[in-house]
Amino acid sequence: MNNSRIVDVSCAVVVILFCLLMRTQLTHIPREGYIFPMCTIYLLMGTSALLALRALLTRQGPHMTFFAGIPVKRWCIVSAIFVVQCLGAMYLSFKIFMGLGMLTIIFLLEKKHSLKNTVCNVLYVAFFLVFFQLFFTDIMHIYFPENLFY
Amino acid sequence: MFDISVVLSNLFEPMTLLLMALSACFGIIMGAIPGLSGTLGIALLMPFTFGLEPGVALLMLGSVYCGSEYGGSIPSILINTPGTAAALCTTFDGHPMAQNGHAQKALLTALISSVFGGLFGVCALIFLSIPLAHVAMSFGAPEQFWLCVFALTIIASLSSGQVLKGIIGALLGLLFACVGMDPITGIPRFTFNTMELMNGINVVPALIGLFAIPQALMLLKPAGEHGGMAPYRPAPGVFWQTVKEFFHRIWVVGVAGVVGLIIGIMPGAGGNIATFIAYNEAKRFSRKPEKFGTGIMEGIMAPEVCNNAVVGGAQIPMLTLGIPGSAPAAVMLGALMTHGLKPGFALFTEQSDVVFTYFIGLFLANIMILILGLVLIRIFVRVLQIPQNFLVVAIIAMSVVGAYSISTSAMDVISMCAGGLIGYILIRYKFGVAPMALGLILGGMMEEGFKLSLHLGAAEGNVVMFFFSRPQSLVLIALTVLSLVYSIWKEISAARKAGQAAA
Repeated sequence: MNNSRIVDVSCAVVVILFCLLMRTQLTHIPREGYIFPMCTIYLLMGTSALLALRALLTRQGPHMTFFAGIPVKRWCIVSAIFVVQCLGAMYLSFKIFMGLGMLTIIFLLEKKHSLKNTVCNVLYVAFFLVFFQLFFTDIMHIYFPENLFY
Repeated sequence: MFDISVVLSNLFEPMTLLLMALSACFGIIMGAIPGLSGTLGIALLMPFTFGLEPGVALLMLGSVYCGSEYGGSIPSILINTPGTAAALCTTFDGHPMAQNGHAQKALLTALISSVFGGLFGVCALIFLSIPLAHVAMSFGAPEQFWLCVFALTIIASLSSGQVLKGIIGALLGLLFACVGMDPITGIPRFTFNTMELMNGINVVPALIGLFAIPQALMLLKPAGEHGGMAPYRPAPGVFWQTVKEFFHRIWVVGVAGVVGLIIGIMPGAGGNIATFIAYNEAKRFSRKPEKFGTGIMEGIMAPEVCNNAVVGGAQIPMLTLGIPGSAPAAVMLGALMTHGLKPGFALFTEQSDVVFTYFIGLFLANIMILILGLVLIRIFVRVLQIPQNFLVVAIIAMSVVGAYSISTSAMDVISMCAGGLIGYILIRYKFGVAPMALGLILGGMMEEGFKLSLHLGAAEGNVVMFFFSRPQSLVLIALTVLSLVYSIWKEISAARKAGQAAA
């Protein structure tokens, strides 16, 4: 099987499994509450089965890659930093994790490291943090989590 | 009916004008940076508008939309790389003209064409949306349901390029829209016994995730070598010369404007398809079709008028029927609903001041783009040199802050992250993000129409007849079937051609 067929069959299997999982959540609900989501689930399973069938019957398809030219290591590291940044910002300290996360990503993606570039990066991140404080907190009264300190 | 004095006083407040100008600048920059788009700009700016009047908020987002369509032409002309997908055709004549030493003329042509296209779209928006809103008034629950089905099938078939995958994306969106308490029975569904999912998935953070995070991840690709920037040397007198030449070719505005408008109204088609058709039509109508592709004004005017006319066209079904005509319009629909505005006839009667502030404001936004384009063009050209790492962190930071600020909930940030991952997978495996976004937005409306029709049909004694016998429903069903059959036929014939070419 070529790449697109493997991808299509795998996607169909994942969607069908996901539908079965969601189907288990529709027990002990009156008919009125489950009829629409149930129809959606069955339609989704049907179309996924068709997708798998089409993939099995066709010979060629477009080549599809998950990373599409992005260095795999870079993709994984930036995604991991992003997740840690979000969780840290929401549950520990917004300013510290946002600042550190942004600086780390800029540093990782930078081609040449120099003192001048580092100062520019710090200033860039500081600009964002000050902007968030001024616009969101001081003007719009949206307070970001700082559970580490309060 | 709206009160013109209220509309004008809303519109000509210094703060409103300032916000519109800033939003238009933001839109131009988002369009000018290859890899970013108006959709992303609208998604990122949306949280900033929550504290504002709905009319002003919509105007800010509308200004971003208009600005981004013009901004896309700048890299198309200077570095032969379209800033947005809709600006691809502008490279055909824009870059050759710039390489011939006429970069300023090419940029001015794109600017004037964009403004004319935008104004054309806004006129159509004003004159067509009111009659269409009257049509929407006659829609009952089954029509509401079938309209959603039609919108989802057409966006699924047009935006992803693969009907089946698009439909799967749309159905996934509908399923995610069902998460949370059932609006009628109040019983929790798909919550996995967690309190956080009880209120359902907030649409705006999910949209931010779907549209912004995949863009940020795709910017991780090492920057490709552009073919060098065409020399940009401003000279006096070029503007008036370009205006004069533009009016000699004014017929292009008519041709490309009509194409943009019609395709903009069709849900899901958007500017990408429209500009190709407009370019071809302009070539067909031209007395010198062989000159297209060598750097002529008509070749820049057609795509630029068209992609800006799409802006108005795409908003006609969005405001009247709740069906967006393009991906940016889908995000705007999310914003509209977040501001408590429901598309349809009621929007034009109960919130007429908001609607007409928006309409007249869009005129003004286009004029502002003309002024900004003339004054700040040197800055917009410099934007092309912003390093990608700065863009990635800016998108990520704005997405996190935007998602959190909607209801100061960590759950929204988690929804945004999940939406980002799902969006990336959908894009990479050719499912397209727009069908899922529309499914998520229309899910509630579709379920409401479905359930109400079931009840009313049961009360009348025949549910099936109630769904399938009303004239408006039949028209919508016919359109749905036609769009599906046409897309499937197109896909099969394309596969056959590819097979023959391979053999």
